Amino acid sequence: MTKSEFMARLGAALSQMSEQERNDILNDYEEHFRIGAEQGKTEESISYALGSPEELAASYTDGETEQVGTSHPEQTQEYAQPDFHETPNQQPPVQDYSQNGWQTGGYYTQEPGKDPEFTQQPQSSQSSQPPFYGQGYVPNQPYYQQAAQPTYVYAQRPSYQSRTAGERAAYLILMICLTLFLVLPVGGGIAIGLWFAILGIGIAAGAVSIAMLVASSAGVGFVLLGIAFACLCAALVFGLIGYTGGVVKLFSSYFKMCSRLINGRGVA
Amino acid sequence: MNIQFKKGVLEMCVLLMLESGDRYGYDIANDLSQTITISDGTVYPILRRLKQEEYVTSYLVESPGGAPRKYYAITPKGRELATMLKKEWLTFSEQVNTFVNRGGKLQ
Repeated sequence: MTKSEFMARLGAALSQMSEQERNDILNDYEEHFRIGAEQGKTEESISYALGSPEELAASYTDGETEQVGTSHPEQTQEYAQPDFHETPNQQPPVQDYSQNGWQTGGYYTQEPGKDPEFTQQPQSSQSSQPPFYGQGYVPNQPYYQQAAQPTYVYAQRPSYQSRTAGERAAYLILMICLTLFLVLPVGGGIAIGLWFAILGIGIAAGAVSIAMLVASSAGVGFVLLGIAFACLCAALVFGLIGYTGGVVKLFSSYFKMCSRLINGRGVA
Repeated sequence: MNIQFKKGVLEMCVLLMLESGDRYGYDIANDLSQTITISDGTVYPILRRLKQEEYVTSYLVESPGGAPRKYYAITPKGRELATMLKKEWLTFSEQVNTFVNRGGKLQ
């Protein structure tokens, strides 16, 4: 698209604006084309990089009015970043965005004549807030207080209430006692006992297979038996590796569970 | 990405770019579109809106051998907004990253 084509389409799309505003906007793009040309770019490549004139025009007004059908369907394939050039009628209703603060029109005009008070809130008021998921959403910014009720209610689930220091200490002592006197002696004993049992059988199988293979003069049956024992030995070695991994995993889950129990999180 | 959300983030980016010095529109558009996937034209509506809300001001500078360029400068009010938006963005993106990295599980 040439410069004059681009400007004509942009001008047409801005036809609802006052002439002064429109000229002001068009001047910005005139300047853009001029500087681009000074840097040796073609009109085609500049207008391609600028994007669709209709969608640019729509973004000048979308704070105030809903623009429907200002862009032609075939243009969506024309530009390199289709995800950004959503057609206006795909945009969700304006009020959804004025609530979360990012909607540009509503965002800045909520506090007319007054700067957002983002430094005034004392720290102590934060610690009195319920310790829920949205803590990082510092509550001293006015529009978040609006957004907080509808948007973050789901975060105030009971399982997110942390324990007090006393409860945490009690659980910690309980878990240490349980671990030291029950889980480690019994669970650890069984785990280590089994480990050595498997290892012992493996060593025995290995020894038998070596003995049988060495005594191979005794006959073919003997050799086959030796090979069978060697296979058994190999199976036990791999079994031992898997078993060790399983035990490690089991104990790590156990300690994870302990920490969740102590912190009062995620225990359903 | 949602267009309104992206626009809010881009306003922050433009303000942050202006924090280190005045720039003209083409320069902003060119630099920003090299790092973030946007069309160059996107910055002009943003600059206009920021100017209307008095977060930036503009002035014309004669360029040697060319037509005047419109420079944008951030106002004290704009600096405050940039600081606030940056803080919010860092908190928000960190929370979302944590959430995403946990595979969408709440805990």
